[in-house]
Amino acid sequence: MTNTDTVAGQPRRTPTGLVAGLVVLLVVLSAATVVGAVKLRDASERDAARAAAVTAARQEALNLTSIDGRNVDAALARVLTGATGAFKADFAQRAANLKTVLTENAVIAEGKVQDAALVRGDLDTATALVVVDSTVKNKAVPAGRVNTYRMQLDLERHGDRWLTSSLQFVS
Amino acid sequence: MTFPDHRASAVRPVASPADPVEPVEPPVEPTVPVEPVEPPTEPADPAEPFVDAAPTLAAEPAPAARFPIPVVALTLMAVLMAVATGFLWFQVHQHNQVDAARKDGLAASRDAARLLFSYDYRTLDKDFGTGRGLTTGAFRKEYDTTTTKVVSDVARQYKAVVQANVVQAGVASATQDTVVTIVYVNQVTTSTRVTGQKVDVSRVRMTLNRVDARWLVAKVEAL
Repeated sequence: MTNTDTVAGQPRRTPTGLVAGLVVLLVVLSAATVVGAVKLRDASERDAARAAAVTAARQEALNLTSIDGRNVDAALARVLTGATGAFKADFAQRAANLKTVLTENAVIAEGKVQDAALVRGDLDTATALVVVDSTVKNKAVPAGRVNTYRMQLDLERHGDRWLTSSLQFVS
Repeated sequence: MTFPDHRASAVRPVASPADPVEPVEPPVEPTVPVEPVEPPTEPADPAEPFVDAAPTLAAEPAPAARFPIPVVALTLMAVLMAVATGFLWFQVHQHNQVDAARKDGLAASRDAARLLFSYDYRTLDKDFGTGRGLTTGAFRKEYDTTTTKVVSDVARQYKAVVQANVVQAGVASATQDTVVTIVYVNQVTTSTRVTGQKVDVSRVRMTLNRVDARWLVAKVEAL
């Protein structure tokens, strides 16, 4: 090293070998930077997608278990807003029946999400678990009773929103 | 060592101010030829370039004079870029670590839930020994206390066989070293207290810590 430096320094000309080597190094580093940046962006997008999917799952589970018999329409509309596909169609079909039952029994259900988790997820689809307790009051049980639920939701990304395409109570 | 040669030939155009700065060299020069194969000189050898390099560099007017501007500029760019790239890839690495933690922690959680919540009154020592091995920290003591002081007696008394099945599980949160999971567990119990089978469904939150490349259960909460 010392030798080369001294020898290279003496004539004081641009050492083409060294410059070429540095240029190659820069090209390699640039490539590594680009690849690293892309990977980091992808990882961040996956993180964001996972978080958004679980947030949407919590909201949908909460909407489904929080229903006031005095204002059923609004409650059902909230559920449908977060729904898509088979779940939406199924729920829409039952809405009329549900409304009758909830109204007649003066049901007031108040949901509380205990916790939520992600089973799997990518940028566009996810499966989440939501642990929900719901205090349900009605004509028969005016004091209220706590129902505990184990929910599993499949979600799809539609634009910047995550919608529930399937919801089941895991038995 | 070739430096004595070019030291001799180095009638450097700009060397005159450098000459008085080289009193360090004379002691070095004789040692090299005197003991070429002697073990004592060997540790001294690697140090020589450094001893020599410091005064030589200091004696030069400036690095720029020795290294042309393009070389200096390119080197600076390379260093800056290397730092930036290193930082990026470190972050990518951390993301990968967390992703791996998610996957491994969840798998460990499923296995642990199945083993921790299953037992057979005929093989309690083995079952609880297995379970114990999946725990860590304060929870290990808790597990020991619960199994030996509560579960064992009841299990023997009623000839209980409990099979826990994990119905579904997911990750609630994850870092490189800690993963929190939600596990839906069904426990199928047969005992002299029940006719047929009894199924208990539960929602369990488990906290797992990475301990020497293994994921061990640090906390269990029934939700």
